[in-house]
This record gives sequence, structure tokens and C-alpha cells, in this order.
Amino acid sequence: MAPILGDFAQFRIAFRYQLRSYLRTWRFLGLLIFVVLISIAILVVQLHRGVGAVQANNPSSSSYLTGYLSFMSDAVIITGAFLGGDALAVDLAGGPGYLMLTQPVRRRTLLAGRFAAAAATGAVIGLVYYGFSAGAVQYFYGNVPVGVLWSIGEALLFLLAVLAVAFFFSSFFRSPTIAIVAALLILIIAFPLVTTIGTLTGTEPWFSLDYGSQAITSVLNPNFVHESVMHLPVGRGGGTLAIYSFSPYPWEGALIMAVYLAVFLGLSYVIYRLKEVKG
Amino acid sequence: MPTLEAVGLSKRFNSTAALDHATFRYSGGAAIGYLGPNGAGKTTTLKLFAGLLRPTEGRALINGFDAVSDPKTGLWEVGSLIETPEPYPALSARETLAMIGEFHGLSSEEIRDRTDRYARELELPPLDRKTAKLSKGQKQRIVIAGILLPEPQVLLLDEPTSGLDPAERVVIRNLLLRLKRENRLILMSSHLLQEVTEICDGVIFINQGRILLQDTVENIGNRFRVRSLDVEFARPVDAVSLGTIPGVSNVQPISPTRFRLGFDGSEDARARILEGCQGIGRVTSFTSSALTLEDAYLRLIQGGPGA
Repeated sequence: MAPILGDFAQFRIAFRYQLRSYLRTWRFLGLLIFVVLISIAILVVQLHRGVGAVQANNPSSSSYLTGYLSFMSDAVIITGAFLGGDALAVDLAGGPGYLMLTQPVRRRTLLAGRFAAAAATGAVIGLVYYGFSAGAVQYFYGNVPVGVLWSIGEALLFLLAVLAVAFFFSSFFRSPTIAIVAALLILIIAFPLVTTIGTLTGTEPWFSLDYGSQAITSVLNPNFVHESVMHLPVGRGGGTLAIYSFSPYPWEGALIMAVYLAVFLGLSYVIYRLKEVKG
Repeated sequence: MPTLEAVGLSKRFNSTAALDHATFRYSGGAAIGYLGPNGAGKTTTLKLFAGLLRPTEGRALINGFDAVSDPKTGLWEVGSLIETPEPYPALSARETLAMIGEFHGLSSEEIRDRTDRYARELELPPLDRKTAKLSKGQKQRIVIAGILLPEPQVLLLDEPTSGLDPAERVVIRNLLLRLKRENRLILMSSHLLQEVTEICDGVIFINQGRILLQDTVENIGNRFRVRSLDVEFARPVDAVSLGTIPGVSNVQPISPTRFRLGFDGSEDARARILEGCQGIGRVTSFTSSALTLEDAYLRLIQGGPGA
């Protein structure tokens, strides 16, 4: 027998084969096509309107990019949920688990390899979208704002946080399908709902991942306002309804996402390590 | 020297005891058959050794290590075929084998050479084909090749030939015999008692989570052996007269001309019975039938005579 291999060497093996596996799935191809089609659709509409109309609507390249990237967080959520939702559940449901979990590899090493592979795969999809957006802003405004690099950083951090949440559900459920659906429901419905409640009650939703993800676009906005309130007249008695609007500071958004990443990835590991393969 | 040791090993699922204080120890090159009906606790035991389940009580040790607390050391020299392992569908058979080999620290040359060797020995399907496109039997052979690739000292095999066709079974049986000769320690569950008889040196009988008996195949054969003789006459004879032959303990008619005669198994009694039979009629066939592992299994598991 060969001498026992170190954890990092095994991590690289797990990463490499998982990445190969991801990149060959229809899921990856489907997500890539989805993002490309969305990007092309946006470009076609804007080209049809003409450069002048686009510039009239968005006075600066940054504001144009802010609008273009408003779809980014949804794209990241869908990508993360589909890549991470079944990453661990496949083992706990049996099948691949009987092959992978009987190898002399610590579960934390397997988890880390799969997480890194999912992140790399998701990053490819995200960067394709950023590539289209950068091309579009260059075409319409002749420059690409430097803030886009910060935005990419925030988006990558958001991808990692989304994957951590998806991995958590994946470690929790034995059915890969249920894990993916649960992750999607929480990320697409629950978190935005929490953020919306914040706008109505005047509470900054710093505890919501969805709120943190707004840093992806807020880094681009030169006229960034952290908190604002709008009073809408209600009824005839002169009463008003206060609608609060919050945007996270870039550091604040990054911190929220980093906390989600650490907490949910930690929980994923603990559950995955303790789970038995009853099959 | 490879060792496999269960120390008061128990596993409960809610209120059901899937395994109840199992204790055994094996070392060195040997093949141990693990026999029992469905739900007896065979797969649970193997899963406990492989670290897929955590024991409620007791310990499962391979070479002195516990796969649950230290999977890396505990499983380093172990190959496990439990339930139906599935390779990643998007990887080719060759990549699956390479991944397993790499996890075990094999060099690319070792992986290539051993892959080629097992491709011939196990008649593996085309190695560049994605495993998603392989049949169940082909996948199983790929997984078996993957398990053997690192040349583990201990093998945990859960019905290794189930799902294979007769030709594939012969290939696996010959392979297991070779591995045993190479000083590997094999613990295999099986429903195929003939296979266990041919491959295994020792046997453990388990039912309802409890080990009923563990011994060598030879000792179990001797313990449960009640020899009988099958006699065939040219013409019908009276069963009562056969019962009067000295040494015959019972007579079981099979047909008017064929009978199964019970006796104590000694050579003297056998010779006397043959003489007695020849005195009653013309004997056309006289064969001894020894009860085998199957009889021991039925008696132990189903509570038959001699249990």
C-alpha cells in the first residue's frame, strides 16, 4: 500500500473529479445557456432601442451596469441551488455514497472538494454574465467602470454564501431533489420576504442574505445612499405611510455574506459528518 | 497481518436491534462467509466496519482502527463493496478507477498498469465509456475493480456476485480465491451457500441481529453432518425391510426403487448397509450424501433439528 495521502492532496483530487463531473452535466450546460440567452435578450432589446435611448435612460456607465446586473443575484441563486443542492444529498441517499464514503477520505475533505468545484462551476456561469455586461457597457458608453471588479468580488462572495446555504440543505435532506427545492424556496422567497418586511418596518434587514447581496450593485452606484425614507400620503386625513429603503454598505454586504458562508458551511460539515448512510 | 474485529458491536434503529453485541475477530489471509436471511444484520455489520453507520455500542476495528472516528487510517487498507455503489455518472470508467486510485495515493503508472490488469481479469467494459451508459453488472465490475485497485488487505463484500450473470460470478469467485491466497482478509455476506463453501474458510451465521454460530466451514460441516445414503434398486423393495438392516437409523422413500437411508456416518456402518441392501435386492446405485452448509443454515436459521 502507498503511504497515507495528506488531506490537501485528497482535496485536490476530490475537486478535480467533481469539477469534471459538474462541467459535463446537462445542468451546467442548461444554466450556461440560460444566462447566455438572458444576456442576449437584454442586448437585443437595448440595441433595438438604440444607443441614445439607452444613454438617456442611464446617464452613466455605472448606473447602466447597476440595471444590467440587477438580475445577477437571481442568477447566482439559481446556479448555487442547482449546483449545491444535491452535492451532499447524493451520498446520504446511497448510490455514490457507497463508493465515495467508503474511500479513506475524511468527509470534510470531500465536502471541501465539492464546494470548491461547485464554486468554480458557478463562477464560470457568473463570469459569462459579467462578460456580456462588460461588453454591453463598453459598447454603449465606451468605458467599463472600475467598480465592476468590486461587483465581481461581491458576486463571488454571494455565490459562496448561496452554495453554503444549498450545501446545508443538501446535508440535511437525503433526497437531492428536495434539497434543491428547499434551497431555492428559502433563497428566492424567504430571504427577499424578510428584506421587504424591513422596508415596511424601518428595520435594516442586516440579517438577510438577500439584503447582503445588494452590495453586488451598490458598489457601482456613485450616489450610494445607505438609508432613505419616503412618505406616501394615505387616505384623506393627511396621514402618511413611511416606506424605508436600505442599501448595504459594500463592506456590510460582504460581511453579511461572509457570515452566512461561515455559519452554513460549518453546519453543513457537522451534519454531513454525523449523518449515517442507511440507504 | 490484516485484522477485523467486532467487540460487542451493536446497532439499534429506534427500538429495533439490527445488530446485538456481535463479537468476533479474524486475522491473516482468510475468507469469512457472513450468512443469514434478509434483515439479519449482515449489511449493518459491514456498514459499521466501513464507517457508514455509527455503532450504538461496541467497536468495529479494522487493523486496530475505527473507521468512524478515523476514516482515513481506518479505511486506508480496506476495499468495500456494500449495497450498490454508483460511480459518478458523468465520469468514464477509467476516470472512476483513476479517482479511487488517486485517493489511495497510487501513482499514475500504478493506476494505469493495474487498470489494464483488472480490465483483462474482470473483463471490464470499454473504459472510456461514461459509467451512466453501463449496465448494472458492468458498473458492479468497475466498482469491484476500483476496490481492488489499491490492493487492500481487508475486503468487505456485501453479496459481491448479486446482479452478475453466471459467467461473471465465476470470474469474481476465481478472483476471490486468488485474493485469499494472496493473504487478504475477506468478510463477505452472501445468500449463495455453494459460493461460500467454495470460497470461505470460516462462516458466521447471524439472524435477527444475533450471531448464532461462528466456526470454520469444516467444523460446521462435521458438527451438522448426519450422513445419509441414497440407494437405488433395480426393482421395488419393501421399505420396512430396509429399516431392519443394522446401522440404518431411518428410511425415507424417494420412489418405489429409491430410498434415503440415515446412518451414523462411519465407514463400517456404510459397508454393512451396502451388504444388507444387496441381500434385499439388486442395487443399481449406492451414493452417500453429506449434509452441507445449506443444512446447517436451515437448521440454525429456521430452528430445525440439530440447531
